[in-house]
Amino acid sequence: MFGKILFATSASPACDSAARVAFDMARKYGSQITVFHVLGIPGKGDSTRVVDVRTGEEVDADQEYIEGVHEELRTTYAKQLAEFPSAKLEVAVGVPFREVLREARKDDVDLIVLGASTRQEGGYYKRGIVGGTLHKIAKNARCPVLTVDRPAASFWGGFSNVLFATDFSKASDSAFQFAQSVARQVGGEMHILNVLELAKIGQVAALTQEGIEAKLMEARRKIRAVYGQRTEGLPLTVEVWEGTPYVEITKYVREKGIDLVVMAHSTREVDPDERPFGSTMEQVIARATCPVISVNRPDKLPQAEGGEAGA
Amino acid sequence: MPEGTLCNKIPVSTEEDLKTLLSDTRGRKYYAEMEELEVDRAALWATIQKTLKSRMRTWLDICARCGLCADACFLYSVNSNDPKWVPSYKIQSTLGEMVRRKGDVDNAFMRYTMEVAWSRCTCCNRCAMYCPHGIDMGVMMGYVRGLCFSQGFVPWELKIGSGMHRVYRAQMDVTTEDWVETCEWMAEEQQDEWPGLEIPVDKEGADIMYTCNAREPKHYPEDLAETAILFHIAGENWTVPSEGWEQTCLSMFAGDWAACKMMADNVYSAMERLKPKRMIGTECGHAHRCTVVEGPYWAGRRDGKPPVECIHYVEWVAEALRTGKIKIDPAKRIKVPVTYQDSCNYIRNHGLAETAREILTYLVEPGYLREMTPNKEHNHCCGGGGGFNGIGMFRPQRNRALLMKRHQIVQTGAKLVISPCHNCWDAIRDLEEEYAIGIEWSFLKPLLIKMAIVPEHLKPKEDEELAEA
Amino acid sequence: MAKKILIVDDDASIRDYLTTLFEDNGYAARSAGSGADALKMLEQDAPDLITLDIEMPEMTGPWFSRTVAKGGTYDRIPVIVITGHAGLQYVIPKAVASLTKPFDQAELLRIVRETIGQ
Repeated sequence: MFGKILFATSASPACDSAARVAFDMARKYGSQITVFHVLGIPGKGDSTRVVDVRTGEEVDADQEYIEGVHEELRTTYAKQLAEFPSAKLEVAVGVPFREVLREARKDDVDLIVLGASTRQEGGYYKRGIVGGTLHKIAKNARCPVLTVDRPAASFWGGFSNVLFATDFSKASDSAFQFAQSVARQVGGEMHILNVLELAKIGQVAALTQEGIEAKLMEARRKIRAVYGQRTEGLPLTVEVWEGTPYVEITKYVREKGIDLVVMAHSTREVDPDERPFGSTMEQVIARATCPVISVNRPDKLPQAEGGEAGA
Repeated sequence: MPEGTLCNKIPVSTEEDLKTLLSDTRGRKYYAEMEELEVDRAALWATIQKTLKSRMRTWLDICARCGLCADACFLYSVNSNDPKWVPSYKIQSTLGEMVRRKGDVDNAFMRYTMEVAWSRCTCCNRCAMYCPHGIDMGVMMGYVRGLCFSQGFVPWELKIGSGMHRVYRAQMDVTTEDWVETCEWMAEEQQDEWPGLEIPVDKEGADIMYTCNAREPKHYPEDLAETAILFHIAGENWTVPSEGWEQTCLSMFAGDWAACKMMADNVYSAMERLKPKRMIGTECGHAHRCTVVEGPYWAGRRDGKPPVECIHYVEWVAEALRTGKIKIDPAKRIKVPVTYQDSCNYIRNHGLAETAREILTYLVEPGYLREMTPNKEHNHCCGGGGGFNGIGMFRPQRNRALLMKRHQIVQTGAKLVISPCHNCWDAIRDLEEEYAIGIEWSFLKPLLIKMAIVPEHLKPKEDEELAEA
Repeated sequence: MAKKILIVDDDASIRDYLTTLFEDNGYAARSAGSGADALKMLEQDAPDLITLDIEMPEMTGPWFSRTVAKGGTYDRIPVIVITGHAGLQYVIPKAVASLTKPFDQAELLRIVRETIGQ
């Protein structure tokens, strides 16, 4: 499981939590890990200058500068690299999300790990709290994408309670495959949660409780109908809670001691007017006390010994 | 010393030399060596005698010093109407001098000429429209660049840029493998939203062969995806060549004529190999100029035409809109004040001003178009043309040059600038960064994709809810 | 009978400090240097309160609390988080309080008194 991990970092303290998760997972699952830093965005016209993503300044991305950045990376992650001498360090120049996707494709990685965007000055509730970068990577990556935004969402020792949050979309199916595959491989428990988004149905106070209960029951049945057979042999908890999706998911994680959330990322760009605080997944990343993995495609499911192979 | 290790009369032609030159941060050593670079006077005069033909000789001779070219030149205006910036003066004090002195000029003179040729002129050719004799100082300045290049007096970034073309046949280090890989990748990435999308490579006999700008595969491959999506929507039978896909040519800006010929030959051989009905280029002005307009002459084609009919991207867009291959959803038309950047190379120098306006009638809600003053073939250079955008040494001058376009845009009150040219797009981006006038700017492709009505058969199956197992 | 507190922390000096502090204030205190030891102690004799460190080498605080939660006894025992890392204050579900080192001894005693009495 997770044979190759690509840890894409801004090399700033904002990515410290993600670094810990990436290396903790590599240690636990024996992964080959690459620390990948995109140095800067190509600057003016056809010149060789780039805008350094950390400082926002224009620099000459010459050999010396790039080596300097390598050195900084080595220093920043000295402790982790000492434990993982086989870890690779790569620096690229370009538009960050594009270079991460390029590297992931080139190396055919099994998991991309991202930290918080460093460009978060300007308030927590700015649209795209984890940056447009997350959306573009999660949307286009062939493999799952794990995002760690803050220390409280760390890898605590294992993935024993896996939560698959579903909205029954087609993309959710790949997320389900991934979640149950992980749960099986770690010998853990599977949880499936669907949230009945009350605000979408109507004025909450005007809904009858019977009406809500009926929908909850219907959803519970639907979860078992759609996913039930594929969870044979796996300890399974099914819940449907009403409310605002990201709130309910966060609560569920807290109450049930979940260590990993798996969801599908919405493929359409989230309309800022509809969701001023970003997509459900972005909110869950910001709030849950465990890592969140986005899976949109069936391509890179973890290989199990004797178990289901990836698509 | 006559020739430096980095700054000399020899163009960069190997990967190793390219890397060596690149590693000289900002060209510090290169420019230091340039101060000592000797002029090969005999060679310079021999070249002039051989290549300065009757048209340019006549132009040099008949200039009446009337000064009408002065106000035509945007650089003259933004440089406080300094007489030294009058186009006639710029040419007479460089090329004119070289001819009068029969090539007997020194290092200081050549460095002055380099400064004039690359920071006091973007070769936008606007002066030619106002000269009563039709003297084209832009064309002459392009010629001067060639003389400078042959003597080794060329800005660092352009020596590198031309070297890239010589080594990679592209303005950036994108190999054939990189290119083909990127095409595959982009097609793959779009499958969810555009099932069946393809970027066919080396298809013979297609209706369209597409060429682009190396920075697209290198840094912005989404541009390629956008191209593919639009051809897909329009139902075009198209292809890209595995080699000969680079339409741009920094060598033209650099004055490296030999490399220009190499590039033209490269693209033309792709045309001859794949025999498309037409070649369509990306949204770029100078790319069209060098591959379609000047190319045939560099390649020695007697009829002055490329092997197949070539059109600029805006011509294809206009055609697609006109024939209904791409239909625009009227509800999605642009409803903010918008203006259009008339790029010199395909508007003034190739006459596509009305084609561009035709496109705008489909894309812009009536009443929202705010034309610049002046506009169409009289519009001003973006400020960054002719390689100006990329030359670090002349950045301050380039930033001043942006003031003309800034003034024009602010006058229109537009919030969006449509700019179907990589150079202009970059210049306007820099303009916004430098002067923060509160605008957005865009190529045509992303706008078209946002507004196009997607034919039913191309839509992905909607996010279906999963059937019960 | 004295209320029982189980101290879970991999740092021996903290364990000694807290043991002394609680015993001086009328509580019976035991300590465990790892999550594994703490689990064994829980089986033998359930405490009335647990103080829990987060970052421990072999088994992290959260991992310990998840393991304990499966046993069912967990819900009934209140937890006070004592951690060196400000960002990790809220990672234990059902914790009643969270203190970052260095913490105020009087504050800790007050919280313990509020939670399980004297």
